[in-house]
Amino acid sequence: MKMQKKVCMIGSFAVGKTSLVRRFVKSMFDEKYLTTLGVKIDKKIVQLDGVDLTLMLWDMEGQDVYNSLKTSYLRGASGYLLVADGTRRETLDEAISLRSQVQQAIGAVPNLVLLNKSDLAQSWEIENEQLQALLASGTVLGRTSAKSGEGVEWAFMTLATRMLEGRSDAIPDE
Amino acid sequence: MSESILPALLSALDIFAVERVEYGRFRPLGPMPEFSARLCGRVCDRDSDLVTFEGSLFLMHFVEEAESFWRSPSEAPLRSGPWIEADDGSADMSLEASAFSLKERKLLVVQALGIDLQERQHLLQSARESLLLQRQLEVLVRERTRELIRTQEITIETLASLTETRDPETGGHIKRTQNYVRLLGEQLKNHTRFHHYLTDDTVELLYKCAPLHDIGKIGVPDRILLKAGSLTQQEIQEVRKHTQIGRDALLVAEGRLGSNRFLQVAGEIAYTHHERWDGSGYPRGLKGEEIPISGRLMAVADVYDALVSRRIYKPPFGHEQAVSTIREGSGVHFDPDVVDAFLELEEEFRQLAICFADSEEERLALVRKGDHGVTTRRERHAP
Repeated sequence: MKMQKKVCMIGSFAVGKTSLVRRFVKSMFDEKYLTTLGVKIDKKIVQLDGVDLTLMLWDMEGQDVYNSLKTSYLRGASGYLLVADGTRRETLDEAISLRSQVQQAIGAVPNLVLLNKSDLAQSWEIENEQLQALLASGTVLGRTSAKSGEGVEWAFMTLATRMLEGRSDAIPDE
Repeated sequence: MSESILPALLSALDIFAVERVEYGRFRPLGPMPEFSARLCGRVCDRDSDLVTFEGSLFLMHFVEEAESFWRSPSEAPLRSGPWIEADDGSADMSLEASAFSLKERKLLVVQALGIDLQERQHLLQSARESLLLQRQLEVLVRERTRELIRTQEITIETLASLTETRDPETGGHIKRTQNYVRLLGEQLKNHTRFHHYLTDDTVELLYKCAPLHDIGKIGVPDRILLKAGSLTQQEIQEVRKHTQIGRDALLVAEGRLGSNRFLQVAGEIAYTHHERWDGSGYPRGLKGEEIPISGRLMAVADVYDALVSRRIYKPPFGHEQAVSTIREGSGVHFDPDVVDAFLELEEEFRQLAICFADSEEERLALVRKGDHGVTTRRERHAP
């Protein structure tokens, strides 16, 4: 059986959304930061429980003072990955805030919060207490590194599984 | 605009326009530029019958959105926002699409953003790199500041501990008195006479400076500082010099460092914590408000601690007796408002004293209710 699902990559600027897609689709990584303008679509076919699932990966421009979330890009998304940079604690707060906006736009579809750049342990800024609170509220969290590849496959495959299961990831009251 | 100019204009602007014929199928309205082949999945030209956009996931998605727009169109076009069309083997291309409705005709225009977008991207890239750099610098400054503060704290602790090694009586005196000073500062920071001075920052500063109040004892000879018996008048005068010695040492440090609030306040405390409200204190015999607030707070903290601690010349007094002594000193030895603050906090003073007591004897004296301890006391040195 063949299926296709749209997945959006969402998060602040320079958290590594493009790098995660590049690592997942092409198994490549580039240290240089190159800002995304607008949106870029990539795709990858994965096999999951006998299904050939085409993941349409919408790598959206990062959100910051210059650019707010463009909800029209979200239409038709079956799931999304909220990416934060573990070395910039404010990007996790921003990701959580974006999650509310996304849910308002497209409803409670499966999503994961990814703490990217796990290879930069020395500069890690996100406290365990904050993560415990998120986990306790039912958020699915993962640590990833587009550089080393840690957690990348897991993140996309976990989201794919949840999308196929038709899970509804409602945001807990915040 | 004549029909003949329009195709040339569209071509020059890297734009193509198509009209919707049926769902997902469009008729070209002019020349189809080379890049349109990527979107259509095949080479298109003006004479192509109908085109679809199977080559572009983004454009297919936008066309769905445009269908809703065309059903109930508004005057303003529906714009897709920029997107990057990637194709293996060729360079990325930035495009933007707009859906229009003109005279009931459903139109789609696609433009290659080219140089405009490159400029926008360049600006955005620079702005975001600046934000990242600014953040890195802020983190660096925070780390360096933390290091400096830690260095300052360790230096103070080290200096203060030098006094402790010289004077066996002090023990946990430094730890306790700095906490008493903070308690008094917090209590008085909303008081009309003190709020101009006792900000949160100043209270924290007093807490950090307090350990240096007896730093001048380093300059008092061992034969006097460690003497078990009574002191002669001359020896008492020698001990009293510790206020001057401490202030001078901190002044020298300030002279080398330049203006420094920490050293100023530490010097002020060292110099004035033995002044008395009625003017009978030392070294200068300052009276009332002439005594800096820092010195007035330190005086109460220092005397309470001396009273409840063991000294060579006396056992530890009970808490109630110490409170009584402080109360009696109101307006004589101490600023009456500082004494009032102390009286409101006396239980917290007692708890702190118990927590940081040097010996079980002192702890027991503090715990016992109504114990007035030994009332005889030979005059020695501070306080």
